[in-house]
Amino acid sequence: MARKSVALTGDYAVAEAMRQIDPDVVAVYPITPQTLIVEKFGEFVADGIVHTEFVPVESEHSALSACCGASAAGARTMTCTSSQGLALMHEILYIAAGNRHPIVMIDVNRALSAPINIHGDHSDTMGSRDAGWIHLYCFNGQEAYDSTIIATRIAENSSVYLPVLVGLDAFNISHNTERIELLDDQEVKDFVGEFNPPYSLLDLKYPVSVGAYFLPDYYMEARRNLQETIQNSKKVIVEIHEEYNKKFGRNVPAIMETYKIEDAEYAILAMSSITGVAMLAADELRAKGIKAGVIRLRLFRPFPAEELYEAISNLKGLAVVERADAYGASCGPLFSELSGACANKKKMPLMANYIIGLGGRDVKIKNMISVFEDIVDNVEKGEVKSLRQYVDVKG
Amino acid sequence: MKSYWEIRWHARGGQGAWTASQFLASAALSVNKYFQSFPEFGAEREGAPIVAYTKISDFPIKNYSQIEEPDAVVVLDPTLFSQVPFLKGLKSDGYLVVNYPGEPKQLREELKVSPGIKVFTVDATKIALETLKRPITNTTMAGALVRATKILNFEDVVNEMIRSFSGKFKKEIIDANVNAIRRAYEEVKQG
Amino acid sequence: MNKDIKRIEVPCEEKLVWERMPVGNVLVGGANSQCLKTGTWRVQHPTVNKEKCTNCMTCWLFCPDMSIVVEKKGDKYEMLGFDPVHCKGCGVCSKVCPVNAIEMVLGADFENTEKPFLR
Repeated sequence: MARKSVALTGDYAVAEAMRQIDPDVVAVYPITPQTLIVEKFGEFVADGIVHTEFVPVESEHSALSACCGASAAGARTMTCTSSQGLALMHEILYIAAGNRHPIVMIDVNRALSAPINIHGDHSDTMGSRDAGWIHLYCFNGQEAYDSTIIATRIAENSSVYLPVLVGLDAFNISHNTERIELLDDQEVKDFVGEFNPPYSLLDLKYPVSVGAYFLPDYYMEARRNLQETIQNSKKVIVEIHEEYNKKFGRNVPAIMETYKIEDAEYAILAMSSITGVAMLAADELRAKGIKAGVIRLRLFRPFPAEELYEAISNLKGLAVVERADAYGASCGPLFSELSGACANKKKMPLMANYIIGLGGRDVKIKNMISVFEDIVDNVEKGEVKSLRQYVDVKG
Repeated sequence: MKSYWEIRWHARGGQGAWTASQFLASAALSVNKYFQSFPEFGAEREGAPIVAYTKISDFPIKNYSQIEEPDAVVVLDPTLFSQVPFLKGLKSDGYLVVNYPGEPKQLREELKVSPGIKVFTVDATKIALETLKRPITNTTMAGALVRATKILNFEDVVNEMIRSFSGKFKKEIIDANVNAIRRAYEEVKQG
Repeated sequence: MNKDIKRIEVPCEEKLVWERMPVGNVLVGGANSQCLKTGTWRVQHPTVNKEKCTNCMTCWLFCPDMSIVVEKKGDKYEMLGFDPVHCKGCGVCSKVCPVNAIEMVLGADFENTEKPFLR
């Protein structure tokens, strides 16, 4: 199959990437809006197009547990989930990272209950950000397709060996039919290559025990090692993106995408599809003479503190706009990550946090314009009156 | 020729509005354009009013929000008139394409459409019943939309329809759909 | 399997540091629970009366630390005693012996750690 342009929803694009990667094991449980991926991949399995051992389990907790077992046995493993499913597999996320299973999980970012909501926001992955997984957030279906392939290489890199989570927004990306440029099957196969696991339960020449008990005398060393590993993975992530872009003529950003940031005085920092309208809002503000720019953060874990600081240090005002909030905290997760990373920096822009688009609330150009206007107003007054605001709420 | 179109479809669940949106999207693909096609999600079931969106552009589309000010509104079911405010946001020089048995002038009066908006009507239900033997008006309305807005080349749209339906439907059904879309293209009236 | 990863056999001679931990915290080598001398935990030790013993192997079956020493003699198996390095003196063998051949005696008897115990 040669390269071709097709009309696919974001979910189907991910399913195509999974088909081309042809993993050894996929253990998965359906949850809206990830269902299209599972259904399409299930069709591929039923039609014998892939060699994957497809394990339909009884819950997401079992799905990730099965993936960990398969990965420990040396299988290339993938799964996908969303919101409540990700929350249900929470304890196993830490196990997958601690055991260094290179599992690739596609998470369709959907809001967490309660109240029940099946639409897009980032609360699900933000709730699991500390488990030790690498997190990549996708702009659209095309990026989700590319990221699934890139993620396989990142996870399986011998100096990384960590599980990777690829996020795409629910419905406005997952169920949105867009133009997707697919690579050739053989190109993808050659790019991901053979899986060379770090260890295998089925390898009798090097027998291992997986999941041992570590007493207080060594647990901390194991964790310190994990922190070092995930921080060092950033270098590898950048290299693999460069390789992918060069080989296939793509332009997938490894860490972030910046828009008109070089001379910007005010910027919005956001992730995934909502940055599209932020860029259009920045254009409108530029037309009015305000130097506006946008930073789309793609790599959330490991958090690229230096790169972000370099992008924001010359700004007067920065609006951190996010699709998740931390209940009981003074600010949302992205804002607190950025502030923490820049804790002792001398030169910082005035920053404010804006919570937007929760539970699938549509994020429009005019919302982003109002955010820009608010940060400009804060800078002119020399103070941030409200550290965190919710944008476009009734009342 | 506009480089960016935003279209909003109104129908009831089960009438194929999303299919029509998808199929217009794949027609756009066949002429190398960029597009988005997505429905508005809520409590859906057969018969409930639904909305589908199509964006067609010569350049990659950055805007992933819902369409607030469509260039064209397509209504597949006349019984929606009193139920859904489908004129909301329609651009003052936009296109309104409706499945309606009467003349465009009557529709204009009935809905109190502002004068800048171009109104097109076609009795899609009648055409569908005669050609497809079922009141599914998606292909007919897609044809009417293409005639009204010239958003894509009609022959490209027909070819794409034949291509995407082959392998899925029997030849009689594909021919019936081609017949339906051509008739809608011919019979749509502006007023 | 990735042969380029440095294998760290556990337990190992060098002290592990955070910079050099086994990938995935796996224990390499297998069967290394033998290195844990559970024998040092005991406060009582078993003794067997070989005249009462019928070599039924029930003690061997139930021993949680594989500390019943057994030898194959021709067709039959004979229970010879207890492994002093791993026997932790739990007393399960004594409880399950159907002919009460095993008795627990107070005292860890660490001096006698080279040979199996016999009465």
